[in-house]
Amino acid sequence: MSTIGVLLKKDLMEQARSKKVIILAAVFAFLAIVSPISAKLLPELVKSLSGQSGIVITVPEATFINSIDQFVKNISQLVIFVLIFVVAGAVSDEKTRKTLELVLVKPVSRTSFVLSKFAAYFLTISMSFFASALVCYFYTVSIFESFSLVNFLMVAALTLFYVLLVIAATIFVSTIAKSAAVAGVVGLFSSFVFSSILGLFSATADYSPGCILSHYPELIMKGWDAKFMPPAALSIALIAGFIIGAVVVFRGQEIER
Amino acid sequence: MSAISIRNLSKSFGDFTAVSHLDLEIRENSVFGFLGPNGAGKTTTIRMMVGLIKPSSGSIEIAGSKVAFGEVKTHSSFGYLPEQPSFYGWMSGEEYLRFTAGLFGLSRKEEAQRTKRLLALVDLEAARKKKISTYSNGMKQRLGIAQALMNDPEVLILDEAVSALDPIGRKEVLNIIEELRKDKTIFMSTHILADVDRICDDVAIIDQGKLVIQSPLAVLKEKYASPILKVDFTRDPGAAVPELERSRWVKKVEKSGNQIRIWLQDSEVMESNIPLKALAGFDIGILSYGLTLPETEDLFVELLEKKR
Repeated sequence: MSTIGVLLKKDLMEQARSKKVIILAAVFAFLAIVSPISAKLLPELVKSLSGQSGIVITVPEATFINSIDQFVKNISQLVIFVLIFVVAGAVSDEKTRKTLELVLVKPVSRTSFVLSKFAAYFLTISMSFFASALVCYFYTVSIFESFSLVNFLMVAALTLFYVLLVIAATIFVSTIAKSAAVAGVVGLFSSFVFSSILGLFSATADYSPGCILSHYPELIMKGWDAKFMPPAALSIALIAGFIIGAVVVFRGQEIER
Repeated sequence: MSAISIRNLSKSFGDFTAVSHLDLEIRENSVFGFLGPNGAGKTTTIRMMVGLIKPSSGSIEIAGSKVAFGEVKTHSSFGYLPEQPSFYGWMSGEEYLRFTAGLFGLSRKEEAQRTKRLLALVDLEAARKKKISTYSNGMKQRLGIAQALMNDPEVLILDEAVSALDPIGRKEVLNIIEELRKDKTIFMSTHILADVDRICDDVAIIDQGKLVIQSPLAVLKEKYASPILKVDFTRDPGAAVPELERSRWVKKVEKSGNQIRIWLQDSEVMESNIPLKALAGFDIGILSYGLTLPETEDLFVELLEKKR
């Protein structure tokens, strides 16, 4: 097995033993099940409350779009915080615990060390995310109506790009920073920038990686449109930039006691 | 051929110079003691040797290959153990050694064989399945030696590897090091000078980042250490000390309980019984009187005092 393979196996084992995988699986499972249920029950709940208070509130019938809406919002408003918390210590924890010392004095390139961190988290998060997305899709179809799986998977893929971008930014900062807390705070700030700030300015709005968080109904209903290409391309470019940046920074870093 | 060659090595952190123009040659298959007071630059030197920090200037060669910061080509020729090694506590000892074997690219068969042999060498067979987080400091240090030996390195670099251990742990680890000296070059920094006396062939002393001396230990003792006269009295000889310190033949006096140790300017004074006559004049009973061989600790103190 190559060195990066050995490191990746170790990082995946560590995620499993430290229960990080369980946390991720639980969060994504919650997301997959709660999103369609809450979309279904929320209008009925509002109706029942309006009946009790004597005020008549007209609530439109819930559709599968409401379920997707819940799924995307839960990702950007809830799950992303858990993910940032989980990955913030990816490199900085190895520095503070000094566990990387005995690894880096072996024939292990620093590039492999950092790449295995990105690969391990990207792999676990992507797999959990897609499993959750598929559960959410089929559950939504079972309680609402059938809609395009392909279009839904495109929404999921663009949402995943946004998630991985925030994760990449967090791991990049984890490589620079001496503490996981700093990486966590900067990771949260990056999620805010990518989901909201870039969308506020006309010059950047079309490229904002977080645009999928508001434009998903269009993609679900009409399918792929060229306007989704710039944010997708920018997300991939930024992810690559954060990975390269982390490698460059880590290669020049002195490991002090 | 030298196993390790350090030439004109310097390291500065801002305005502070931790290591300054250090030159060392360590011969093959020797145990080399790297000594110095706390903050002398020992750990900084070692961390440059193993590629964890970057030298400001100078060069390091290990087993004929030049160490270059950020490159790993020399990393197969040495094993390294710091004072308090940090492991992945969630792994078992056996898992950690297998992980280490993987980093060296060993085959499955070699991995299994070496792991088994090293667990036996460091006496961790019974604890091999236990999580490292449950290991004592001594067990962790033994595991540290095992991981440092996984690639069967020519050079073993130990940074205060026994300093934090209790006497039993220290003895266990030193016994292992003594076993290894047969076919490896061992570079060890320590501030426990009794350990140096026990296992080192050659030593270097550094202070404030600069080399004070490098020499075979025996030569150093013969050449530099003053003869020491050890005298045991029947009662506290405190009153005699100031007068002894003023004597021309005395370099230094140390008192501990009813015993004093006198560093002589020259062992010639023993021929004419000058010390005995002087001691007899204090009217304190003498239980024993004799020259002792200087220990590394005495030598260390003397050389540092001379330099300062």
